[in-house]
Amino acid sequence: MKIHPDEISSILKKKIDDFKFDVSLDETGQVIEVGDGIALVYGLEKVMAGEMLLFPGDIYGMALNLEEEYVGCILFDESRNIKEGDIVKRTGTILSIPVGEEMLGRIVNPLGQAIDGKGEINTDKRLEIERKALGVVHRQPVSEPLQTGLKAIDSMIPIGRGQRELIIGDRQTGKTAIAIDTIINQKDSGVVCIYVAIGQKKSSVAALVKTLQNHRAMEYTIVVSATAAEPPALQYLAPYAGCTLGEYFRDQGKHALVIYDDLSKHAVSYRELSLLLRRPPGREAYPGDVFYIHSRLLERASKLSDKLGGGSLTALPIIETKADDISAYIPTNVISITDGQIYLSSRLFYSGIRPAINPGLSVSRVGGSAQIKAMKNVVGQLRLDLAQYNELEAFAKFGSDLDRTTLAQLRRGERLIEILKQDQYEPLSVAKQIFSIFMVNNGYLDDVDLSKVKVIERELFQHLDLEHKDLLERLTKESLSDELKEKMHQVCKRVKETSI
Amino acid sequence: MKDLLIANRYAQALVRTIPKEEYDSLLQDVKALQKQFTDLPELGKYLNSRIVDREERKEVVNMLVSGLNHQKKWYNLYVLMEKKHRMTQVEKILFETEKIVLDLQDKKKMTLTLARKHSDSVVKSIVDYVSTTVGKELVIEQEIDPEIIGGFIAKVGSTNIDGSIKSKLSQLEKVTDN
Repeated sequence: MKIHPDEISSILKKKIDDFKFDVSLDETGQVIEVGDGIALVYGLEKVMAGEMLLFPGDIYGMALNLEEEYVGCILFDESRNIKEGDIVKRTGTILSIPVGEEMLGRIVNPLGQAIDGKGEINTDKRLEIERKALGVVHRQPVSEPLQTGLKAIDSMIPIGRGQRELIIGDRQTGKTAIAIDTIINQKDSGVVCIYVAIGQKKSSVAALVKTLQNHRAMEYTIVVSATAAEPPALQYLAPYAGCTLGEYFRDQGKHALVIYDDLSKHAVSYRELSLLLRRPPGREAYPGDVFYIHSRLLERASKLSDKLGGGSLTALPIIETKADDISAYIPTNVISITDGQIYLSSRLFYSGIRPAINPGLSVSRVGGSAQIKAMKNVVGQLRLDLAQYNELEAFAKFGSDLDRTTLAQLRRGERLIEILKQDQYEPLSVAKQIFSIFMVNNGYLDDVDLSKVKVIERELFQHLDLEHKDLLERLTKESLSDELKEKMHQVCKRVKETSI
Repeated sequence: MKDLLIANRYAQALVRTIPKEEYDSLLQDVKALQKQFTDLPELGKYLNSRIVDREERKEVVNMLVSGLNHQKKWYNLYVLMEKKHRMTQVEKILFETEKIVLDLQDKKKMTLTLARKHSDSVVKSIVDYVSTTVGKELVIEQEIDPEIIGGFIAKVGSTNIDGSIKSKLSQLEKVTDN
């Protein structure tokens, strides 16, 4: 590249000409204590709660505690460069992040700055990180489904657009896997996905981004990353930043999905900040407002009224439990805030049932009304059948002689569980899910060996893709009429005949 | 810096013992005591020293506060500070006392930093400008600092009005750097 001195000097001259010698008026304070990601500042008499503050070295912070004698701030950068006595300036602005279509496909920190090495994000639109949840009149009930592509969820625990569905379970039970599959399944659905990584390992985030790229899901996804190495202030802000990004798309009349992975770590980072800011500790040393920080975040998920464009923001918060204890403080809090939960059991996971969803403890309180008609028709008593199977299975373990009906129920249950198993990164279209469940519900697999259930299912999908695209299309739009059912029976019979 | 918080509490307690009509005389005392600390930089260290006999220090304190409007109160404050080993904070208590009293009188103290001595008319125009900006009557304290090159820096409470050449040049440096 050739450097032109004239060009450079003209740029410099222009900059100098444009520069105005104004008197600057700043409200300032002095740092009285700094460390562990927080600073106590003396002065700043008129500072607002949540206002951005400028520390020396262009380090930003946010006023969180407005005490009589000092202001407690959280820092968004290393506190090593700040020392006692440093001057802190008010910025007069509440913390905001850049938003817009330009953010799609990018990895950003909770301040909206790109951290993927692809250069600055050129957007002039900004929205405040802390926004009030919309009122009742601006909303409408959840009515459209958000397909996860997972049979067990879309059939038994359906999620609607605008819903808040908690994914809860122990470590290594497949919580993030459900989230990733859901993102992958949003391809061509017009749903913008925002994945918020809170307190995770950088390697995990990198692996997740790679997976999304491999499935071409980054095109409609934004990753907000506040890894374990970031200051607790950034980890605390991350979900609010992700929510603001989602709200931008929702307000444009689009549909957005935001995944908070995970809110247990978010609560831990908030506890750390609160204790350092000397707020009184409560249960499990969490501050008194730990419920409120999560409820105000999840309340922002909504389905807008038609007058406001009908956009939606669906939230999938994730909570990690310890030793399957869902009655701990944070899990119970978030369970009570959300519209249902998907409970993942480590026992099921290690017995090979993946996704390890426990249908007994999982529920979707509002998703049912968003489920598509055909799925509703075909699912029927699926949950009840599974519950009965689980009960009988325990009973059958005693080895007593069982009557024919019980044996039939056990056979059906085993096949149902087999059909609900699904490999990772292989989300299914809702029509194929309907077909799978229809097949098992109508006893086509009852006399098939358990090891062959998956083979037949694969055959069915191949057959549908090759010969019955129209049928798949109809299933997504219509309810199950007798004519449609008849066609489905024919397909099931044919697939069974050809595969055995 | 935490000392400022403690000093503020002592100053508030002191001001509460003074009736409103005696605030001006209290401010005069504060000025006189501040001057002693400026004239004798080692005074704080001396009063806090354990090597010097306590009675001898009390005598010095007596001399320092003699002739002040609120002599007894100042003496008691010094003795209390000596007892609590907080003699080094007396200067900060004086600073906070002045701030609190001015606040109560709806006034503000302005520290005006100039690069060199200017005529009274120039200073007055700066004071008028700052007074209108902050909306308070100002009590001025002038400082000369050639490092600011030109212009002025006015500090009123936690508000900083910077019209110095030094800060403008650093701003310009940032602009050209970008």
